[in-house]
Amino acid sequence: MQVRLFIPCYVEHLRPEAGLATARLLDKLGLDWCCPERQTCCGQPAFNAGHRQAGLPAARHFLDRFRGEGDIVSPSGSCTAMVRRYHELPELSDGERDDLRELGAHCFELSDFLVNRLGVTDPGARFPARAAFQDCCHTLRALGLRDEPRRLLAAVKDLELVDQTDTECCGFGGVYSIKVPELSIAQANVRLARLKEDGIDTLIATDVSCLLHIQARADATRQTLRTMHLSEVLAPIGQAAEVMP
Amino acid sequence: MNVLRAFRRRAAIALEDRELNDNIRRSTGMTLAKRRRLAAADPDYDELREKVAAIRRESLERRTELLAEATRQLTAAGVQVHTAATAEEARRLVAEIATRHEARLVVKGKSMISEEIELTPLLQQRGLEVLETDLGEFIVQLLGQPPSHITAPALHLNRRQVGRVFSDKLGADYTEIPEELTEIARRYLRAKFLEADIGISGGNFIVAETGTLALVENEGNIGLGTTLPRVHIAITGIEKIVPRLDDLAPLLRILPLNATGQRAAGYASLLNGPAPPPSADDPPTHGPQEMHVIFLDNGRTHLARSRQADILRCLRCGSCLNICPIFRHLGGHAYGSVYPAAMGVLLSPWLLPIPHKGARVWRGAAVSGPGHHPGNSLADVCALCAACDEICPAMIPLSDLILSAREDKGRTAPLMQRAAFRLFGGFTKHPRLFAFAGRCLRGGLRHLPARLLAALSPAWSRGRALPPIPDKSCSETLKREHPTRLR
Amino acid sequence: MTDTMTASLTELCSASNTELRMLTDPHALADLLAEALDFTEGIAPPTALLEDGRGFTLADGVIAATGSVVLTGRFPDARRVAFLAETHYALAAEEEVHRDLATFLAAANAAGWRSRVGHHVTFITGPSRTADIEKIMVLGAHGPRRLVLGIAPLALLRPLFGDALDSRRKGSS
Repeated sequence: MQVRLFIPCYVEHLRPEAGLATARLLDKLGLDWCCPERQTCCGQPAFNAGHRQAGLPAARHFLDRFRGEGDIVSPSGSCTAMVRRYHELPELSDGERDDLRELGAHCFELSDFLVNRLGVTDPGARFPARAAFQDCCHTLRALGLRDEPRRLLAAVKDLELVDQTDTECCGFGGVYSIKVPELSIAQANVRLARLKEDGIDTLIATDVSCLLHIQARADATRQTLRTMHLSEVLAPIGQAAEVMP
Repeated sequence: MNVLRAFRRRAAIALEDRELNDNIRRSTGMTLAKRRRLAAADPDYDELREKVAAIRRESLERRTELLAEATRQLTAAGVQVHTAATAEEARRLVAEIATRHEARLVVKGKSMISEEIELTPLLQQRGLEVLETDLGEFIVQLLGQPPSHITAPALHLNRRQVGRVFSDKLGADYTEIPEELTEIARRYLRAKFLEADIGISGGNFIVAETGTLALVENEGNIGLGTTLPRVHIAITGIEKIVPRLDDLAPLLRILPLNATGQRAAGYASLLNGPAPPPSADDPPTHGPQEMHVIFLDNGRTHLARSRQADILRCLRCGSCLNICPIFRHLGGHAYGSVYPAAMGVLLSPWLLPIPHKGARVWRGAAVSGPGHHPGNSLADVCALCAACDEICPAMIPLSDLILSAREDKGRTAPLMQRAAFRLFGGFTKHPRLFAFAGRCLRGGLRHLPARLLAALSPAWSRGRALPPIPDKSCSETLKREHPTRLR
Repeated sequence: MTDTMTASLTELCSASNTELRMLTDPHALADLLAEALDFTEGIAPPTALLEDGRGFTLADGVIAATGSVVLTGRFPDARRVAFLAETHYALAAEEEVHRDLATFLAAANAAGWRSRVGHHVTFITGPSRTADIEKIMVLGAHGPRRLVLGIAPLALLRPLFGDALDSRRKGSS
């Protein structure tokens, strides 16, 4: 069955590398995949801002694009978590609600998909770096994925992963980052201070949004930082040829 | 003033205060670490949490019936039971009892509900001396501040600051040794306990079945305050009533574990009523001769009918404060309410009324009650990280409730704001338009002068750089590299 | 009490700064009573508060799961002693060590709660303490600075406490 690639809007426009690396990874694993065209936004900004109704068109559009058989995989825990909640939206017909619940059950964040759906814990990557992993709140708590990304990273050759598991939310939080910017920034400062303390300049995560936020603060304060989406570490450019058996 | 703006103003000041930030981060971190060790070592912890959640769910569902039963049982035991619909009524009740007993000195055990109803100022106006006796609360009272945390009132202060307060306000020799500071407070307050006419406490739980008031503490101040004075007044929210005596076992286990990382609190007092009167052949009985319980509503019934009702399951352990990345920067004062962080964001607008626009009901659920308007909620002060959901011993889905408070707020939001989100929603079903808008955004970000961009996005750009923008979108590149994969 | 119970109680008491004394012979019991209330012979009082701050209570039992002392309204003065003493000596019968809070509450409830415990039950775990200044634990906040818990077999207590003990046994049956 074909795997469908779900490209969140901020990956589409702000960090395409994460989507491209996910595609490379699917190729590398020899999977039959496709990417539905005309994807938009999952609607989370409206949903999380308290305008649930405004998320309705997004859910219906998503259903239209992804209806059918096969897993949906996305390089974002946050958007996946949104898709899994579509069935809670108001004013859905019973049929739509069932369809959306079904759709949510087949939508997976990348590490979840690899480890729990495919049973792949070592996609055979090499990534020479000393790095920390950022637990993105939605991946960690909404989807309950704590070990999955860590298992994948532990298998990456030449990657030294420094344990920073007790860190807090980076302070992005969607609309929160602009509604209460002082605090959002203060939270990023805590994260950056921790990286500096451990002498780390590479940060890996399952969500581009958190990384964009932390990177933005690092750049504004001239702290050297390279942020990488998990997929970019698992399928670095130039390694796509080493196809897994 | 808009509550969010007022919050941001106070937060900005708190963020500048490095001493404050350090004090709070260190203290909350220590409590969290102790709590984590103890919870991890308890193989039954998840089961315990489920049990507690079930008890609190039942308490909330049967609240009317339990209030009646508790009132019956307490009355039968000789307790004088009062119900207060509002904070003002509760204050008046306490003042009347004090007047009747010609009281001069009142000692208080830490009680958030007496902070909620702002009891102390009224009693002081009536000429009573009112002393907070919990060490942390005593410190903040000397400073004229409200508590910064519901279980650790002075966690925003370090030993040097406490030392200065005691030397300034009590005339003690300056010291910053915690043992010596504690001793100063002990001596000062011991004399007051012996003299006090009335002891005021809150109530951690009330058992409906037996009419038992449970009070949990470490310092012994609540024990002294409910034993030495001749009158004991307990003020408690109507939501604190639990059905059965058996329910206390899991509750008294989970509360100290979460509040302070202890297997058991120093003292758990289960009070069944006033002390029996002294008789000729018995040695003199010590304990209050008169006991009052005031059940306070103050918006709780309306809250119970709203979509945030589950917050009434709260045990007031303070875990959601300790774990909140926002609280850990600011402490409680920035919230402008004695209930901060997740539990406070949810409770405060219902209990601490700000001039209102009347009660509203939305599809069967109240979005506001007397004195409450959803617009007064600080629901925006949350990144929805859900760390509080994970820690809450009553398993309250705090982040979902905050989201629902945002929705209530959204329904009454200004038309322009609602229209903007509608417009955004509309975009998501028009992929061409959405792609075009994305292209424009990228183009703008790539080509417009940096200073203009910063001026256009001040909320983001003050303190944050804009990201480098790719020339091509992800799908454009995918189409080029994998032409057969797109469909 | 089994050895494992004693071991676990010892560990819990040490964690809560309770000074646990297992009193297995009459001399050890006599020593504790002498230390707590200068008692040497005759019938000992079930509660006492001395001028110098020593306080004594004959407890209503112990909760094994937490190392807590149980006091009830049976002895009118117990609560005052437990909070006002500088050092609180509590003495409990080995036969009245309850497994945990749940078993104690269930038994007390079955025995008619109010008639069993009177106007209060107070569970005491360790000396009074505070961590309100920088989370540093300080013992002796408002109540006792020390809590000494003696546990002795009922057979040793009976000759010393006579009626007091008997009235209690009746109440709990």
